[in-house]
Amino acid sequence: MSGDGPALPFAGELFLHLAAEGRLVVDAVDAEAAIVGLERTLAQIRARLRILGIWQQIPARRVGDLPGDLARDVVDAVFTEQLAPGQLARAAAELPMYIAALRRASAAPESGGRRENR
Amino acid sequence: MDQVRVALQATDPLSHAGLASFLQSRPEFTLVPADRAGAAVLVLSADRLSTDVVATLRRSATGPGVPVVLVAPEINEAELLTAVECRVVAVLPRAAVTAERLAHSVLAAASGGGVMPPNLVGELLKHIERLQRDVLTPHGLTSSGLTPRELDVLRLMADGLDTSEIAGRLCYSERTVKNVIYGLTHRLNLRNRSHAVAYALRTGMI
Repeated sequence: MSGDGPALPFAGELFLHLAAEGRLVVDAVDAEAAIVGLERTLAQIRARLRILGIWQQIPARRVGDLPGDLARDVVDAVFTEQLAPGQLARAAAELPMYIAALRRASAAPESGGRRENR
Repeated sequence: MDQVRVALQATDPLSHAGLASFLQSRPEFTLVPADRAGAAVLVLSADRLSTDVVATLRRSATGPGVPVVLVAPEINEAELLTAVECRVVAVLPRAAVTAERLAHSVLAAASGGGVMPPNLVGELLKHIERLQRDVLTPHGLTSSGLTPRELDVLRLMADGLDTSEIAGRLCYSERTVKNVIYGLTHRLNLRNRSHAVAYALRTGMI
């Protein structure tokens, strides 16, 4: 049995392309909400990557020696990486592209229509 | 009123005939040959997004490219992204196509200048939400419930006992212990015993 599922369909470059061509136009409120969520997720991903980096440098790793909150963070980070190796790093590279695309695609609700390429 | 020039392609003749009939019943549209010269919109019907269909979409998207209305069964997330990349601006489930729905989508595609309509943008925003959820909780793993029997087995696994030792400690057969382990790792999409123990530790269950 394997816990490997299909790779996540990251599409940061596609979103950037669609936004640059003016084909992706997102209501400003929706875009802002999505950006806030993405930035929050990106911060969590970066934190987990930092934890993983530090954890892997420690010679004798014992979760039990860590305080509760930190232990949970370490287990979360290690567990996520175990289940989907490399996915956190990929996400850390892709999510900023989504954020940039949404910033570019953000349109005032009343504007609509095709936008000029910038 | 100017007629919208529509090119029509379908992977089977029945669908082609049906969609052509829908389009020809409306005065707003005129069908143009399938090479799409001068077409404002391409309607493409396929029973699935095969390699050939995707190749057709990619050819259609090259150059200036015309917006595409795709008539297909339900498509998955990866297929949606491919479709969007190839200028698909509407996806109509085959079973739900009516002359009215098709006309609405074709007119929107013709007037939208290639800009994706709100429902398609909504699907892309859902993709972003799913992506974040799947990155942070791969395979949907959460602290969902385990049975007491599973917890007992997990605790002993965490203590380093092997299958026969766990069976002896809990008065189960080895087969039962293996079934319990298989059941929970399969259900939770875990790779092996170590993942199962890590999962239980992570969720604070043992």
